[in-house]
Amino acid sequence: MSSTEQGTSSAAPAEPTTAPESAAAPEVPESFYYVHGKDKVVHKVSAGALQHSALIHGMISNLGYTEEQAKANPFPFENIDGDILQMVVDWCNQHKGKPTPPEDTNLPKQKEKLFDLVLAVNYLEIKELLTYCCKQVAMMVKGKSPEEIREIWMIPTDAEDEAAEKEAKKRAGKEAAGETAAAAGDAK
Amino acid sequence: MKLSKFPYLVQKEILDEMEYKNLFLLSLVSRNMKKLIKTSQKKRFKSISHIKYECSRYDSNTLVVYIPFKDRVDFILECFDAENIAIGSGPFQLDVSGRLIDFRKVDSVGSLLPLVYGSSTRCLLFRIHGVHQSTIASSSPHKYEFVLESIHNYIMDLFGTSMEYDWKMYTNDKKLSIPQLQNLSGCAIIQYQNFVDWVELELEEHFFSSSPVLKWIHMQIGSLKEFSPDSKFYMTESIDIFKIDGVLDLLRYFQGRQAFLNACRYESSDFIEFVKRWKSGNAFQKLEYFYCNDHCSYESMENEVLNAVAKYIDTTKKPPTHTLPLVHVCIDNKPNTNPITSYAYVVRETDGHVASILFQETMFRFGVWDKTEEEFLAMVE
Repeated sequence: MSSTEQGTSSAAPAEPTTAPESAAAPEVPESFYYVHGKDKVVHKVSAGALQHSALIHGMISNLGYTEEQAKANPFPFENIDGDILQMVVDWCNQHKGKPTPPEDTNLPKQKEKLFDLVLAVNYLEIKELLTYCCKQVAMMVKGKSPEEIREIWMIPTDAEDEAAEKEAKKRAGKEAAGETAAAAGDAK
Repeated sequence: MKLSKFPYLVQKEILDEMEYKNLFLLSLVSRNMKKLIKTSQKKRFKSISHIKYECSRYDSNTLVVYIPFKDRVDFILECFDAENIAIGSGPFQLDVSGRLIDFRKVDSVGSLLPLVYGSSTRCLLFRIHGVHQSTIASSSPHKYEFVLESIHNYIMDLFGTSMEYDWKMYTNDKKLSIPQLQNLSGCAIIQYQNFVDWVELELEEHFFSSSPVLKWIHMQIGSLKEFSPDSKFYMTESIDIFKIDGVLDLLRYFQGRQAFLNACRYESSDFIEFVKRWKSGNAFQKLEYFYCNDHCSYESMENEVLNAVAKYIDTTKKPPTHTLPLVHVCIDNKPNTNPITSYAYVVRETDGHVASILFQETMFRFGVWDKTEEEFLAMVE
């Protein structure tokens, strides 16, 4: 279960709710950190769960925050939608300290959600979850014809690629010409 | 979901998770996609040792293209001859190595309408299996070889040429042509035939004359029409033949490295001539191993042959054992030639190299050492 505080939308982190930890309390109290996404909803996550994310693990490993400091300084991930961050936090909590299974069937089935999840997971460097997500993305085109694959993954045709390349070249040419003109203006 | 919006490493990981047949189809979507697959999957494709084309010309034409692994095979596509095949959705053309090929999506092969090419309702279909559906490329029979060639060229371009491309054919044809495919390293021909009435198989000389020398040929056939002595057939590095009828002139014309003849009967004079020519250094310069067996024992001719050509190791000593890696590893996956431990040996006049000779029941074995007589005798214990 995730230790998430839903509905808090202010920039300042509010008091988060904590999920009940397992009955056998660890001898050394576990440290917690706080993260929020685009929606500013703050999630309280244990350091153990956050170990899945190489990015966050790297950020917290030398911080030595006290509980109060951690609460006061949640990690902002403004590029990740709230619901996606929630999924990530849930996954990290579910797989805390456990070996990851060969498959994960709880990933979103909707294309756009999965797309956002892949980007978030890649950014947060959660290797196992990224592998599951990539498997799921690959499964989307299994047994499909090239035209269907094109549609599902929005792959441009050769003509579209060529037109885009031409356009990019044209733009680059214009920009270069603009820079040259500006430089000449400066020289005067 | 726009694939190109993912960072390269994510795109790579997605492609890493895809099966070969789906990568093949994905590569047909666009030139840039093909480029991405080739770049990102380079290491994976390099680990492929073989791509096999397995074709059956018994009753109808079928062909499967697959990648064999230790515990499974991954199909890339299959091609079959169909009289009544129907189409699920309209055709779409894809550029396969510069040739536009009609592809069609089918939901299931059984519930479709016939496809008509001119006056013929027969067609050849290239199918790529999916979970629920298949994608097929169709071709009229007379264009079959061209389409096959285009698909082969495309497969080579996509997967690379670091692996071996093998052609295996089950046939009951009398005259056999093997498609002229680039980079083919080996060819297996298995003849379907009533054992009582074997038909002599004729392989088109054209295939050998216009192709590079093959690495290996494997045949299970009734009998084989002879090739001209200078045919490239005899230059094949490894020839492995199981033949029911007739003698094969391999003992005279073979120019490759390893030959295995099953069910071939030779006379003592054939063996004597073979060994004498090897000893002279005028023939069989590349030969490493020659094996033949017959249903009847060679015991009666052993002394005659060996007395005419061989020298002997002291019978109180133990001769060294000859074995070497096979050029072509067959179905049983045995990596080396069967060992030869023999007291009889011969020495080549031109370089002093030794070959062990062994007659054993129904078998004759001849193994060439990369050693001079002095080095060879030093190994005797």
